[in-house]
Amino acid sequence: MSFISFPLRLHNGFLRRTSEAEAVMGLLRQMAATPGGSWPGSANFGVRDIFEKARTQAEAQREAMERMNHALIDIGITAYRVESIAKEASSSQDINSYLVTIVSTVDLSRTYSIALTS
Amino acid sequence: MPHGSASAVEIDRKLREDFRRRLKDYGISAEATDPVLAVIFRTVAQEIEKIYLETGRIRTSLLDEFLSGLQIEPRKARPAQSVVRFLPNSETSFMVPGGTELEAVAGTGERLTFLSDATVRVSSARIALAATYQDGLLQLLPAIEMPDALLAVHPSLDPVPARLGPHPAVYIAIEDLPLAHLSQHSFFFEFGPDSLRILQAMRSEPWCIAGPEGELSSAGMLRPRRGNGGIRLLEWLVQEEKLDEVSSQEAPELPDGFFADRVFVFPNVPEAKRFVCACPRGLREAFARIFGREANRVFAGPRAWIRIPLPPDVPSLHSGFGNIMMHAVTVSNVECFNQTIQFISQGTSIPISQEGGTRRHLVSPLAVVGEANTRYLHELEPSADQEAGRYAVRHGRIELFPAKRLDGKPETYANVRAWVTDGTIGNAVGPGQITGFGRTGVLDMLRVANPVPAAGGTDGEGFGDARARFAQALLSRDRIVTETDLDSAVRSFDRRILNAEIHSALCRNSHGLERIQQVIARLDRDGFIEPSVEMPVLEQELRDYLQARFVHGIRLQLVLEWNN
Repeated sequence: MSFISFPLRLHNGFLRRTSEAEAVMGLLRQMAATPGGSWPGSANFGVRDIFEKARTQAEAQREAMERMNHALIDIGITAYRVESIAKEASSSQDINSYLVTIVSTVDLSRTYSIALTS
Repeated sequence: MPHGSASAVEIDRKLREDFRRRLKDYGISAEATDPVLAVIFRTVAQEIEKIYLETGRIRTSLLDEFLSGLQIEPRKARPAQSVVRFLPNSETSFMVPGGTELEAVAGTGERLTFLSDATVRVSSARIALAATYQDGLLQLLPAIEMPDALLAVHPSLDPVPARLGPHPAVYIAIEDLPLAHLSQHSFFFEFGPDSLRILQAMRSEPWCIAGPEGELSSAGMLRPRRGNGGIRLLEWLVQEEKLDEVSSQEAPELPDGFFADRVFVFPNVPEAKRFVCACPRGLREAFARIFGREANRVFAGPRAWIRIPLPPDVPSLHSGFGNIMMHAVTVSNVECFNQTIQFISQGTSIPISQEGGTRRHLVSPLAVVGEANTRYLHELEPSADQEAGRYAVRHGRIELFPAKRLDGKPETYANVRAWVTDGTIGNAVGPGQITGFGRTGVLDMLRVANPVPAAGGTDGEGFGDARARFAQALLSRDRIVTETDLDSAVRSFDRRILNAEIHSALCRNSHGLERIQQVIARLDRDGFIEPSVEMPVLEQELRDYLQARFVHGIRLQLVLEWNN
């Protein structure tokens, strides 16, 4: 539990910590909420624009996955990569829901999933 | 890692390495990358990269601040300069004020404005002849178009022997003078190749109008001083009037242009000095050889005769001088930016140069005047008035800091005036392309022609040039510190100072001990026309010049001696 949890919160005078996988997933959540190119630190950071056009573009999920992986490499996170993004059935027509799966690059059997909405 | 080329990724990597090293110092090994820290590091690296990219701009800004703070000429554009000749349509004489607008069409099609650099009088006066004297020989300058009366006697263009002293000189005869004599009349000199030494000498050599008996005396002596745009304004050696009536007129205070030191303008000639004579002393015999039997007849009429002596070591004057034209003046490609700035609607940072987004380039700010008609000061100009308005020029914008009104509230507007130029575009104006006056009808009795192209216009000074200039100025600051400085300063002050002897001493006075620097300057007696008048003037000017550059607390003791 040596990774900083986002959003930043204090606990007993220290920043709250989380696991590495949870920290990476937290970062992916931010990517899903950020339009691509809006952070000068990495042009690949942010997939909100891709998710928004996902209804009309069949390749959107693959494109979002590639961009997320490029963004992770850009900022030096090599321990995990996005393995798949699958669209989930949503109760509302206005909300799209995606299941994002990440996999450890060290141990391919370790996978984690996170549900993202746009 | 050189800061100039580091990218955000490289900076990011360096930050992480440093972070890991510091963690290791605490016994913590962090192999995996924390996503939150990764984003923070990259964001910081990105900001540092932005600062690095701005470094060039920051360095330029700092240099500008230094130049301004040390009162060294700031980086600015230079206007293209040309020379126009005014041709009168009638016999009447006209004054063409400094700052008169002239229209030009550049070779590239742009319509440009030029302003005259000085006030000149245009009249029927013309050059009758010009001759050079060097190594005991007098020779007519062939480029001067002589009047028919002189041409009719078929003068010889070959050199003839003359005894006019050891110094070379140029003689110019002017005829058809108006009532005002040579008042505000101008002369433009065209020089041949390899004439740099002559051009340099002409900057400071005195002019002398021959007296009624053809004599040369201090009464007719004038000396050139620098004027606007590098024009040379002649002033009387023995001043009778404190202020020349035309010198107070507003004209753009411009740095020396491409045609600097080539145009000379006479001051007002008082009635007592409106000398004319038939022929200066010593010249009649030589002219008899040049003009033959008709010499006495052609030189019977009154003319103003000018003699300009030159140093002994100048190259051939005959090939060094080209044409000499009257009624000519330099003109510079400048216009006045004049705008009232309402602070509420327009803000306090106004683009004033192409760097800031305008079409033209800034030459120099003229004046910033506030609501109460008070002048705004430059941001670095010292003043006891805390409420005074101030301005600064940065990155092509003028930044205004409003003055405080009597009720303590800041002023709401200010009027900004500045000289701006088209820069290098002005260089595209060729000979004959300055076509007329800007304000139609004002001077419709005159025609205009520019015999030379416009040249010397720049869009601004680069960082490298400005830095070199700054370094040079900073190293010398024109101060006299070493003995070599003093020796060079004395000898370069006037070519008639042949050498200088320098002694340092301590003297006792009523306040205690005092350091004295004694300077004994030896003068060339042959270089003076009337030593009794010229020497005291030279002494006073040399004293003022040295005193202004001496380290505080050192007293100057100046002695002038003749060489023979």
